[in-house]
Amino acid sequence: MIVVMMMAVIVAVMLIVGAVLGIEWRVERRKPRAEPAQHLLDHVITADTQPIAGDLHIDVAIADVPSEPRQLVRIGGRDLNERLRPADNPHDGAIVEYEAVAVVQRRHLRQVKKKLGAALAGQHDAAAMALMRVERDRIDGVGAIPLTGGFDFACALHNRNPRLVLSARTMPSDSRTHVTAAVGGCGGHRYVAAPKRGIRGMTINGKAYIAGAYEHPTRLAPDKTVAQLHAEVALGALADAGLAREDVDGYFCSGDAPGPGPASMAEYMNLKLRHVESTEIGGASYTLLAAHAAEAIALGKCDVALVTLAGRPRSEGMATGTAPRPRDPNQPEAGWEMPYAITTANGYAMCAMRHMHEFGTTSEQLAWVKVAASHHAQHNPHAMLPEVVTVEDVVSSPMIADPLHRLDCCVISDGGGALVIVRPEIAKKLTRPLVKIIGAGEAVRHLTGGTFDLTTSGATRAGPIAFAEAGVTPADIKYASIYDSFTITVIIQLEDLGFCAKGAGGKFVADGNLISGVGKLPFNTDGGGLCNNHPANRGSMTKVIEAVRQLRGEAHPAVQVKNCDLALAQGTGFQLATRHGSATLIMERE
Amino acid sequence: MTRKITSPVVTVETKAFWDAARDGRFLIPICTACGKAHWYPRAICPFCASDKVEWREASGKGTIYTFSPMRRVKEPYVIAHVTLAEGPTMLTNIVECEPDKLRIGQAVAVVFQETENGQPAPMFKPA
Repeated sequence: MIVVMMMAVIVAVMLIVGAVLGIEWRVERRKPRAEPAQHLLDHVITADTQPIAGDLHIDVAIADVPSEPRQLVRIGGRDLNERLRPADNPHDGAIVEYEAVAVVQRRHLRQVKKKLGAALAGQHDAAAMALMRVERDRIDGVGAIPLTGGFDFACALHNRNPRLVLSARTMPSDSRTHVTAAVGGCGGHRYVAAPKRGIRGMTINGKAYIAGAYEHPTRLAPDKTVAQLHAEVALGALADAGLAREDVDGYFCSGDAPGPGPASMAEYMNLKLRHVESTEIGGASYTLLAAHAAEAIALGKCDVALVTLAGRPRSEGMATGTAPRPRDPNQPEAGWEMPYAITTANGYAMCAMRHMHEFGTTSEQLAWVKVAASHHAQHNPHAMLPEVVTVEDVVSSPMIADPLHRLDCCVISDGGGALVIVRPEIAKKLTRPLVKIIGAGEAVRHLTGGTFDLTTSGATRAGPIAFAEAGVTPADIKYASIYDSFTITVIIQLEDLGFCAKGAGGKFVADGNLISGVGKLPFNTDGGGLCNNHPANRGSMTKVIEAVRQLRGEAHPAVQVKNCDLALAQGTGFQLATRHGSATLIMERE
Repeated sequence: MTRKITSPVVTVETKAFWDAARDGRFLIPICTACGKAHWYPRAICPFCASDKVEWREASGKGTIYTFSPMRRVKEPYVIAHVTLAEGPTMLTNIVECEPDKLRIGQAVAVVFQETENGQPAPMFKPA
């Protein structure tokens, strides 16, 4: 009953977004609950990368629709459990505090602001101004059946403080009637709203847990084969989970695994599988494969999924960043790139150059990314570069490809890592802390026939999809693992994920803002690819592993984020200046 | 620039381009269905998916979208994306230049450079 108000709010913002974007929203019934839900603010809809929360001081929350308007209660934003209490006055409606939820596109934000402004001018206290008309769906136990009609709700800003007071005016008569596009519990059921773009159909939210995670301690492995390293990390992750090799029935690997696809490694490790996958999007493959493992588990295709990564570019003397990579001559772009000697380093450097040109980003700002990573690496006994460096150290290191200096580039290392991802029932029988996968998104970006913008990445698409599925916003994230092939990679991804506005990444990372215990967004607390490890030239596996450590509370005490219950891991693979993959994974400690 | 330039892969899809390059002509693919030029060249228009793609001789003029002088190699060179006067932006090198004086937005003109097997490839120099 309680959740009603919030729903109304959510709906309002969503409808605004939906109307403008042409997005349709619908409500899906999720698992029935034993008793009527009273809060359940654990899913919130997001629509795009620009969070309105901070600017608007509102959240879109979740609301149940009560059959009786006077049953409205105050509802907080994120910590609903703490803030639930009956309203003294029904006209107070639900109070939604800003720290929680909504994400809307920037232009829609203005619309919302305008409406709220009008509400503020016209109504000092509660209720009264109808924000919009809301379509509703009837959930009748079978599915969502669109109904004509709707209901209004009103809002007003309360005393100009950053709270939005909402109250519903007209309530549906049927407690099972729900607002379109909202999340919450009502009438014994729990619902999640889904935009047609973004979450659609099934979700992986809550369907799988990361039960095992293991990072190989080696950084130089001339005495081991790539297959051996894969097997070692696999066994390490299984031991971490408390599972055995025989439990594995799903195997996920990418282009670093020897042989074409999973067959060679399945044979080497003698796995008996009923589900395999080997999607290749470069260094972003492992945030993606973790999500795909969750998808397979959600569909019942496997119960215990193993994801491995390993390689030895350091032992093999690979000039990872400064020499062109070999090409398949059948790659259609090969002929148009080979004569020009694009390398990993000068490709990303071109992105940095353009970012500096458009936004005034400086070498010193780039350097702060490395400085933050080095502050974390000093606590990691396995880190290749454990020395703390300064901005001056970075900008005075040799230039590799303008404007990237040597210390703007990640390390070249041997090693690997693995994850074990399992069904909830299995995770709950194990002894490790529960790390739940709650959202994921992926995208492939390219040069689009010669019309492109090198200051953005595929995270502009992958991020919002992941946040929408997880029902959280960038402001909620306590810890972020951001693929750091180069310092510029971090800045572009942070912007694209919505941690700051496009172009503001340089300022965002400056002055230690990424240092755990110092800044607002602790990142890569293992030292990341810039200082710790970049096995097989692919960074997103170690990104997930450090996020798991943080969520478990098992990061080094000097860098452990307090009460780290929500973390994000972000990968960018291949070449940002041409074609790349992007994959976002959001995880929650349960 | 003394760098050994890797020769391009020439395919049946792109042979006309590379043949013209031997005559010093810079072609660009234009789709007659939607009227748009694209890069890199392909037989199917990336914008409208039509196969009505024709080669046209391009002006050879463009501006630097972004660039990066590669320093940590024996023979430094400048990688760049150049936006052509005809619209699309292409990966290339800037040659016959002082790398430190290049800037984004600078006007450049096509110049063919011989690659390892003698096949010329289009690059750009300050206009």
